[in-house]
Amino acid sequence: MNYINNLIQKTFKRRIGKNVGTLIAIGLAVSLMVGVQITITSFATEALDFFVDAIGENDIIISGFTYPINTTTTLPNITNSGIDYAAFNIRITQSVALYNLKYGSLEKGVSFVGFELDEDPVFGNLYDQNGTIYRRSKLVDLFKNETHVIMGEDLAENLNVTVGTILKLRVGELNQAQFRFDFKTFDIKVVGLVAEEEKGKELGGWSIWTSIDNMRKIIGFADDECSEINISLSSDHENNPISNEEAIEVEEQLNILLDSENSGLIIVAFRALILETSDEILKDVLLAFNLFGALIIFSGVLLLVNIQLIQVEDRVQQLGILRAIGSRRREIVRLFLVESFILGFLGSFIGIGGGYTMSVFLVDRIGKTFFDGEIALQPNVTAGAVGYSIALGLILAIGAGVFPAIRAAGVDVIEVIRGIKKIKRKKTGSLSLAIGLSLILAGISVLVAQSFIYDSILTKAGWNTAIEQWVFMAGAGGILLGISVLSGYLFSRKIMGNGIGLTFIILSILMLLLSLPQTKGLEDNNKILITLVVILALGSIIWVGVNLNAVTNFIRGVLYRTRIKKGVSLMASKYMTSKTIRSTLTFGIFTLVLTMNIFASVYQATFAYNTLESVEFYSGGAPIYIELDSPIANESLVNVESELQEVDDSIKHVKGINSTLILITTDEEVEELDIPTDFFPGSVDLIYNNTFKNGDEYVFDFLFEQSLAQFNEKYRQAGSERYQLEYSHEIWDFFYNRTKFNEEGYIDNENGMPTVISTTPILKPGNVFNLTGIGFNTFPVIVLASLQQYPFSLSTMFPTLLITPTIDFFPRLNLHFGLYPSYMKFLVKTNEDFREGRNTIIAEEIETFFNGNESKLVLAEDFVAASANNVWDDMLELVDFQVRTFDFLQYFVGFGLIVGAMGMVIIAMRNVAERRREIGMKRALGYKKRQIIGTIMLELFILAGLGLIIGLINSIILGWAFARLYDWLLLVPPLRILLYTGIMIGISLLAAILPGIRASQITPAEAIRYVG
Amino acid sequence: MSEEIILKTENLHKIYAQDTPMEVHALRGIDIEVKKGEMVAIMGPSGCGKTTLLNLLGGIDEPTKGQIFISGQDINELTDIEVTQFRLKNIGYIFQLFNLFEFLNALENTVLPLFLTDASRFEAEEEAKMMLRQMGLGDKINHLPNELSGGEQQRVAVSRALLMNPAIILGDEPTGDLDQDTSTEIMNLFVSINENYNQTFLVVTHSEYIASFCHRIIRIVDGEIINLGGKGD
Repeated sequence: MNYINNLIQKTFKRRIGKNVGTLIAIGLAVSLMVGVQITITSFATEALDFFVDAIGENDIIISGFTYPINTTTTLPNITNSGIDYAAFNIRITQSVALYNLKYGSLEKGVSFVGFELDEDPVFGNLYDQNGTIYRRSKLVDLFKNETHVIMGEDLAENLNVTVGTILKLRVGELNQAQFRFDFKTFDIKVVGLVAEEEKGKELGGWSIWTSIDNMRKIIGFADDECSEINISLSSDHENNPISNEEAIEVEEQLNILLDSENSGLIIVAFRALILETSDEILKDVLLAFNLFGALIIFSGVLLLVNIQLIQVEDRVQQLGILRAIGSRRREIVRLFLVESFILGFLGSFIGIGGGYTMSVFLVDRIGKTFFDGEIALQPNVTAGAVGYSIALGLILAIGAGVFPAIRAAGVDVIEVIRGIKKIKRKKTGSLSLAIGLSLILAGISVLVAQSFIYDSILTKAGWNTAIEQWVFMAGAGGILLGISVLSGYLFSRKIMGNGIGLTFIILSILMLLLSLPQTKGLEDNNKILITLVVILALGSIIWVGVNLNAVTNFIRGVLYRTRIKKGVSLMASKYMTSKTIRSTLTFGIFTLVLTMNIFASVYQATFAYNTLESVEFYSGGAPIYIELDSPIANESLVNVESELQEVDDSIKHVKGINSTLILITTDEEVEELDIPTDFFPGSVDLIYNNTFKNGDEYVFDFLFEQSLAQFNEKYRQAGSERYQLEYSHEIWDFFYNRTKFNEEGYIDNENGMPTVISTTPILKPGNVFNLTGIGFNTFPVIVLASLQQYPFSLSTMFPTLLITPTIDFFPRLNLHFGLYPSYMKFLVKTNEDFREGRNTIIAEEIETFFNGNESKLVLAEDFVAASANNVWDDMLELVDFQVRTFDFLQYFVGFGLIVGAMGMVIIAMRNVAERRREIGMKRALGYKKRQIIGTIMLELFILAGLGLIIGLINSIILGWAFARLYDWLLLVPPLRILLYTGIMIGISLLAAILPGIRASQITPAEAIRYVG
Repeated sequence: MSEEIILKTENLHKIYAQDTPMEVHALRGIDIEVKKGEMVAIMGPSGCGKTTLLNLLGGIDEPTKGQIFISGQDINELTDIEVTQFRLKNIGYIFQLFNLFEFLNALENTVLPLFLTDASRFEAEEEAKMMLRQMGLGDKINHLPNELSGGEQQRVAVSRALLMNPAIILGDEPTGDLDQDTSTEIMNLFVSINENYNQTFLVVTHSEYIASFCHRIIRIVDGEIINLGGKGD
């Protein structure tokens, strides 16, 4: 052991220069993962701070869901409950529309807050533009006049408001008798602006404020009524934090205390909800990054193994002598592993530095891409990140060092001492017989177990989730790999290698074709897709590696026909073949990196193109949709549908839709509803038989993408346009006929539930949940199908549900809902071309019509808060955001290219150092300097080219499978491919030029003498 | 043998690490002449400058002073590219350790020099195959160096050196790594080539036995010629 320690110390010191490459490689790989961790942590911390700051120290919100809470009866219940609260306050909040007549600027959905002027500063203070606190005395003075409000800066800017501006405000006044809001218009005067930088601003500046007393007068609440009670459980969460569990416990306690089921009060541990939701979102983001990160790490491992193998070859003489003087194999393994440990430890610190640098770039991009620069993110290096980095560095270095260490231990003493190479056996040894049989047996066992657990291994029953598919892959892969390994024993190593490579390739392609379409959720879908990316890349790398000789022979044949000197082509191609493992690892790095990059761009292009291509088809023939702020389009006063037909000659059809807000509450049993809370607001659109149809003709024809189990056996997802139309029409008929379905998703008109159509992926067909409407009645419903696209869901964060009039159902949601046609929403069909036509202009005309003086509605109202939108424009905006998200992912995978480039340089440098003698011999034979550089460059070009071609083929296969899944047209972006080709050439040039020059400077005399 | 001078050096000096404490004066004014078709051995004790001289003659190292003429061309006047090209066409090299590329088979090792010219692949390979057949390796053209014996490897190296029909072949201890029988076999091969093709050889060796195959032996001690003599000197 002592002499091993001595040897490690001595060789490590002497080989410091040669270990720099390994260190950099470890550092690079660690940098990427640590960079992601730092970025995500910083994003999580800062984004959370942003939201949490906005709500101040508020833990619990008790809301009347726009209806009044009686403070006389409710507050004593809270104050006497024994809940250890730090502060509480009461408010009235209403969603209002504001209109600046002078500039014609309209803003809807503005939060109008009436607050107690002496409310506890725990919830934050209001600051003016100069950063001065609005003191109570000042506020009393400001709000003396009932029409005076103070306004957030952002809102003021959008409405062209300065202090003193008078605006029109639409707000709902409670009609106690009819239990609904009557919408009224007021003139308000802005008497001050509110800065948004400080804590407790309820999501920044999209609000106006007045005193709670003024607010009560405006919306008709009594003196002891409010719409919201805020409770703070800690006056300083930073130093005295409240755990989510504590807050949720208080939430439950209050639910019982205030009898929320019957009182209709909504009680939410708001801060905990934000934290949980952020966790959920971040978990998904982290998953995406980690999956791509895993691929980059994989290429980093290939790089490390490659470099370590060079080390082994470099030290083969030393190892042979060590073995000759009596070192045991395990001591040599230990020697290499201890070196790897030291390198891993040192490399991890380079990783921290690199990771920090990378995160500086990434957090900046996050801020600019997703928050329009509103959040200035700062990288935040935590102790956890440092620990993670060290652990990762060690795992990487030791993991990548095992194979080279075993190879080093296997150095043949005779070969080293005599300078010869023994010819390898063609077949593998008896160990492979055992491994092969074990793999086959293990594979069969896994498949048998799967068939028992999941009922089936080859039908949907066994292929629904990612786990089921992974298990199947493991089973099938085990059997095929076992057969491959056995063939090594029975026939030859080459057949074994081909078998292993083809197992991965065929398995991944078959799974892409057969299994991927059967996964249920998007998340599972992505997991399988990424798994298959790895398997396909791995398989193609192994397969090409095994057949590298044939591949390079072919390439050489091609090169001989070019102007490149045959001596250069011969040397480059033959050298690569002689170092099969190293060459395979090198082009493997490129294959992985390029598969990722090209696939990301193919995915992006295909997604964006097809999404936009399908917009018209999915739009249901409604290029324009209109939303009114209040139910004012009462047909008894004004027929807006016919009025709108006069706005522009191109308008063909206008259909009004009744709409109301609801609360969606879920039962705990609904496991598939993958949302972090058990209730959330939504809206319901009431659809009559004639809303979309004129007789049998569909005027507005929205398509379904998923439906209940009842239809699963007959229908599949996607398909041709004709297929989708037929499929959708049949399901629409069930919907219009008010057919009821049971929880299992089958027709049951007696005991079943009414159906709703969902416009959101979080409410999937088959989900059962309760709808709570204004009036606090709840009603269980089941999702019949989900729409591919519905214009109104583009404009709101809330899910929209479609229902048909049902005698005992819709009145429970809102007493007046559906009793008379008070339309809030309208679908408009025009004669214009969907994309190129004048729809945007027509939408503007409609807005002008409503908000100007032309509509008859204005006779009854001061202004009509209408928004008309062009579906195509909205989709462009939506796709643009998704494209930006993909772009961001590409920045990240782009770092993989850097790993590839650096790796190439390191490998090429080490190669040249190792090949001094060979290069000297070439010079002695008559190779010119430029031919030496040419040889090195050609080697790298061939490897990079192989990586590019395989990466391209892999990406197209994956892209094709992805497009097939959605019946989309595969789009391969030529410019991006060209860019990657350029980058590959650039990397090869970069990687070859330095070592090449170094090689060309080797003098033949020096090299011929060199024997090391 | 003709009277044509193939190789000539004038006052050749080589100083390593000049003007440093490590300075070594390896060659001190070497003047030699080799005629076409002559087989010359250079002998001397270890460190006398034999290999240095050979490297200078092959243009793979530069003299500190003096001139080298090969086929009348002063190689010191040539640029790096020109001297490389000159070496390719006019000088064949044979090394003690054979210096074959381990990843190329016998044919590919042999054909390399022609692959650096504009010769077609077919012509080049046919010529290399012919050369290997002449060396008795016709059945081993696809063998890798580690599949050949030491003697066979050196014959591949000779084939490579001969392929371009060079003005002179320089051998640096060409049998130094071979046993007596194989050394004799290789030297007989040199003699046979010399006699049949009038090929000029300059062989560095420290073996009197190997030198005995040559027409003339030049003896060097401490970087100076002490004997330019004829055979048997």
